[in-house]
Amino acid sequence: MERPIIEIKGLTIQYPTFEGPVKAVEDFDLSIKKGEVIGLVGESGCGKSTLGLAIQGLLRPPGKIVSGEILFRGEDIVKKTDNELRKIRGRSISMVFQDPMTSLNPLIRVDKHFFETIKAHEKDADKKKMVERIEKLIEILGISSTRLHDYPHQLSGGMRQRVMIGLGLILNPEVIVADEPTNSLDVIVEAHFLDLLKDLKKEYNLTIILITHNMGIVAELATRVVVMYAGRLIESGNVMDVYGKPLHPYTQGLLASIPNISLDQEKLFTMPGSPPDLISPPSGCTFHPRCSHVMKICKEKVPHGIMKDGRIVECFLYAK
Amino acid sequence: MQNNNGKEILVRVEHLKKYFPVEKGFVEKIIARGKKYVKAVDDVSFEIPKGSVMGLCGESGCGKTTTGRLIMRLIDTDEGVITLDNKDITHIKGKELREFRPNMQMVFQDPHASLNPRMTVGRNIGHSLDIQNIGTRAERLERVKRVMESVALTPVDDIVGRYPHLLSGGQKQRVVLARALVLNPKLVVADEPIAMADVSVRALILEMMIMLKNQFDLTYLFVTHDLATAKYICDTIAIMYLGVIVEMGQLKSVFNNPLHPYTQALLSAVPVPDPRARRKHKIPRGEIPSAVNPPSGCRFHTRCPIAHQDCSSHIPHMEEKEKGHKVACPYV
Repeated sequence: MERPIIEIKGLTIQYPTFEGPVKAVEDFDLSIKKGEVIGLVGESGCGKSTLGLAIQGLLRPPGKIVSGEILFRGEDIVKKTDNELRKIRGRSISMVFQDPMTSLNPLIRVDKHFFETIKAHEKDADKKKMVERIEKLIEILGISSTRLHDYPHQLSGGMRQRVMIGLGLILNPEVIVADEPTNSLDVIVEAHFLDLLKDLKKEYNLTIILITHNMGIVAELATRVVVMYAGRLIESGNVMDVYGKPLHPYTQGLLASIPNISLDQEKLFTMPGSPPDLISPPSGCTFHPRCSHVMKICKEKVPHGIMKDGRIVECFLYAK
Repeated sequence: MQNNNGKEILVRVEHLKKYFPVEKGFVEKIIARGKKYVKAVDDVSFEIPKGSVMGLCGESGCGKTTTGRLIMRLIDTDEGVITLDNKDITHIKGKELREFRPNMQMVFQDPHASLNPRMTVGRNIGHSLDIQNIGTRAERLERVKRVMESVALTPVDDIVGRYPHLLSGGQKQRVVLARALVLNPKLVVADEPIAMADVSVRALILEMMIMLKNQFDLTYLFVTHDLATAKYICDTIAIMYLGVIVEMGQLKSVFNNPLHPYTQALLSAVPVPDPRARRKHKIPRGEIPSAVNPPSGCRFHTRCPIAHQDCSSHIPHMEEKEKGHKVACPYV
């Protein structure tokens, strides 16, 4: 069997505060194979963005990796120096950020964004060849090459988002981490964007980690769903299985509580309570105060390594 | 006020217009003459039957929020007439407006930003009672507590004295709901009320809004970009594009049989949380044009898959295609 491209083992990330550390990611395991599209879903504050940053070694203080390792092709990213990381970022793993409105530099033209990115990795890149390369790429992304000389504010939101993707793709990375890439886009532009991502994935056999709270776009794009709650992985499995038959009570509740335009829903499921405070999360299973199947063991022990039908489901309902 | 079907109408909006002037730079001011305007709302008419939920949907910049704010009289109308509960409120102001305000209240998008952080929950909710000078202090507190109970902000005696930063996002949004309800309004304008909420508490707020509607005999204008949510809560729906309504009618009729090409595109673009329903999108190319110089004729013609020659010169009017289902396109 092929070795996974990314392996995360026992990762714990904390943000120290005066009231105690915020446990953003707790004991997280995940391995990702080449060509997979992972939909990393969870609510705001569940640690999914922190995880995305850590995968590229972009986590900045006060965020701190307390324990665990992140292996990219067998090499631990956590232990690498900034110089070594710089060679990986952009070239092997690249990021598409959340907000295209603020992620581009308003003072420089679009083409210069690309030049800078390429030059950072290929010192002696020839300008003519760079332009050819950039033009070819943004043509695929559906932007006319005449727009390369524009400043970011002259582009529409959708075009800016496509420029962001272009910047992520220009060095032919193997893995793309996209953090809420469609958050600031309208539905029609979002649909274009998803189609584009599908085509790009096919063409370049990309591995994509899609971080989002939108169950709709995960269903549209992902091959595997990873559900996070309060810093922990609680369910992971093939997209058809998880949506078809969610096992963890949180996943079940989440899917039942979303308005679905293709159904006539009589009543939505309402989940009691709200996401926990990560400074002092509930004991045992962090979901137990909101869970309708709560048992004695849930308050005492943290579920870990529980499998059901070939899926990871961190819930004692499925423990043997 | 009644409509053709004999239903009682709470809100009637006729030919509503709002143009915002575009600020120009120094040089432009000297060189160019005449003002430019963002045509945020351009000839919009609709009515909301009493006790129903009307959805106002569209992409960002289509004028849906401006329409909501115009009805709330938070901004002044340029042209057109707004009638609420048989009263023309288009140009009332000062004392008259203040005395009328209890009839209409608003739920804003961002509960974190729309509560006063220096007031306790109780004062945030009761502030409008103070302004309207209703009852004694004890009576006001009693009323605040009662409305808090109906939005399940319990235990009331504990929460009433807390400051907003001590509440969760879902609780804050319920405080905003309670504040809107404390004056017993007839109309509630809800502008993206669940957009900022955590995914797992969205359903709770929606269910609560439906329950409160029945309990307090409310009418909602529900402004949202999320068609799936609109489908869940609304009775009637209007789809806006660049300041105009392109299609309007009973929710079922519009969603099951969308006629306008824009509505069709919008509906097919909504991501469905079901991987078996993956489909190739049928979506118009391009993006929403600027509202400063909107396309001539039908505003959608630049992106329309069925555009004809005369679409760029001829402004389409709303025509009734099915009972109560109107669409502004002559070619459907």
